[in-house]
Amino acid sequence: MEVILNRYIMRRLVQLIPVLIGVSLIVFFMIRLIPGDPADIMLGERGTEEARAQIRRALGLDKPIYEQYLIFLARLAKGDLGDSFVLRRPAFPMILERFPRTLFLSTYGVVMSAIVALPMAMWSALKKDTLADQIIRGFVTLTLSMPGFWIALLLIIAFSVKLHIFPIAGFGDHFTETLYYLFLPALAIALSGSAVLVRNLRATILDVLQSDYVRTANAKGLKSTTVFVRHVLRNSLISTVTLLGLRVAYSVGGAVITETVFAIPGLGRLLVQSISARDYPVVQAITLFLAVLVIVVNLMTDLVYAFLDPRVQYE
Amino acid sequence: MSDVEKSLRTRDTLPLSFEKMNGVELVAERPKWNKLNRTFYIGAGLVVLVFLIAWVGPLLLAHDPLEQDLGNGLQSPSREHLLGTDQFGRDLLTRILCGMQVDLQIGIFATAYTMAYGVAIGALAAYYGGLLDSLLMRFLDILIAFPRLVLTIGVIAMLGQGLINMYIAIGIVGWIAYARLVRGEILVAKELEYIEAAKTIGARDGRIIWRHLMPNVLTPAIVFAMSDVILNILYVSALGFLGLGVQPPDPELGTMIADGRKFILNYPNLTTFPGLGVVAIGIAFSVLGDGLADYLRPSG
Repeated sequence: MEVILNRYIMRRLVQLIPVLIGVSLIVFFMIRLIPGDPADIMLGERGTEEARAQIRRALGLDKPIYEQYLIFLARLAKGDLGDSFVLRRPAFPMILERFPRTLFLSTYGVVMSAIVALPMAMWSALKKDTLADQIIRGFVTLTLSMPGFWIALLLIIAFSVKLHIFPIAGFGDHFTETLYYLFLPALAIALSGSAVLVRNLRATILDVLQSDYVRTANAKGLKSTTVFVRHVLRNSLISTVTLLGLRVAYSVGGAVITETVFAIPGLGRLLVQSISARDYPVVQAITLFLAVLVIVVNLMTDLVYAFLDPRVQYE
Repeated sequence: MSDVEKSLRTRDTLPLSFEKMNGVELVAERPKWNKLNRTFYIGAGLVVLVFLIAWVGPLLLAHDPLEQDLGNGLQSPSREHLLGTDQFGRDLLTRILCGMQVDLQIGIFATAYTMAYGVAIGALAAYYGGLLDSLLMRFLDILIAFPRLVLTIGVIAMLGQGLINMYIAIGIVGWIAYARLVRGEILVAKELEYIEAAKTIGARDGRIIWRHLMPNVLTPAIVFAMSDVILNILYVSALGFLGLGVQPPDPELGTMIADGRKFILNYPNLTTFPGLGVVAIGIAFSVLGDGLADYLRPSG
């Protein structure tokens, strides 16, 4: 069994190689989408001829395109994602400085989504087609139609402007303060993200309720709560756990919005700021970093899924 | 058309939810047509209503969405301005309705063209299989590694702001879901007897894909398109909010929310009301999508 699992992991790792090469190609060509001479656009009016030449050299624009790509790859291998034009320092350490905040916010948001979604999905599935189910499904449809940034702003209006319970922006200095400062941002992520979880978990629970082993468990005369907790919930949660993993990766991408609304100094805000400042190397570096992050999270989620669900075939 | 082909066509267009075949009950429960259709009709009605409000409303209000009247800025709701005015004295309701027009147009157009080539790519890859299919799947693996919003704003950052560039950026990732959906459906459908029969009588590939496979595999793509319209409108408004989408002074709901945010302490209406425009569009298309899904689902 362990050998098969190891081989499965190995195969998944090998499959990653072409994906990583493709991602690096897309990110490499991204900066070449800039219309005209990138050096002109990056420097704008502040550029001297010397500075332009320096940028062309830095990007390797004077070399043939395949050589430029190989240089780009060689740098990547050394952890060099290019330098910020604005701050004149390497982009990678800038990303690493900000990333923990974004990860914290995303995890906080996803944990809160689970807290919001679990009871709603269970209630909705157990009371299928009743008024409660209709209300929960209506709520899901409603949140799916709301822009995430608008939900965030509504929370600010209600809890910060009117009720003065939570701060309007900021990150906090230590753990408990951060939990407090990030409550509204996490709630905003939870409200816009829980809809997918509720739909998925509700459908899975309804599926499991129909299965033979649940019928058997009921026929054996087990108490209905025992059947629900031990048989229905445990099996339904497998797919939800993996979905939660994917949500963390997804909400790291969505952090662009949440961090902008709440002025949280994370990776998403850095991305938006870099776009406004035309700091292209940083935009490129963040895009690459987030893509690799999604790949790693996807891989880990698959492995956790394979580990949790013995029915998964490793072939 | 030969008789054989006629009979094949009949088979192709058999209603998906036929209930009895050779006396065997295929569908356990008879679909409740009235109930199924009700959601669809309500959804269609809501979508028509949203369009009417967005296009007829501004005509009735008779305010210019762009003309500034600085002496009348940030007014409270009144008979003259039902939702008040923004910081430049422009009628807020008129701008919201015109913003709904902009978001609806972009959302529907973006959905239509990404669906068109997504479906085409998925169908060709699945039908011909082999290297073409493998290449497509590897390419999809690469594209879905990027968080969608991040890739979209990254591309816009490089290309520069503007409507065309926004369409390009949305178009780079928007087709993926359609290609995957249709590919999955065709992989199953192309093994069925009626396709083999069509091949046997010498139907060309184009005809098989267009006349025989498409009508049977498009359902999930059409149902998905309804939620994709919402998704695209949410993207357009998010891009507007970040300053990367439709540029002021043109009314776009996300851009208006971003503008209103500067006055959130004293004039929260400037933030809350434009968002309701997005929500109204979203609900209308969700209900229509649910109704369509129920209506088109094979076994009720």
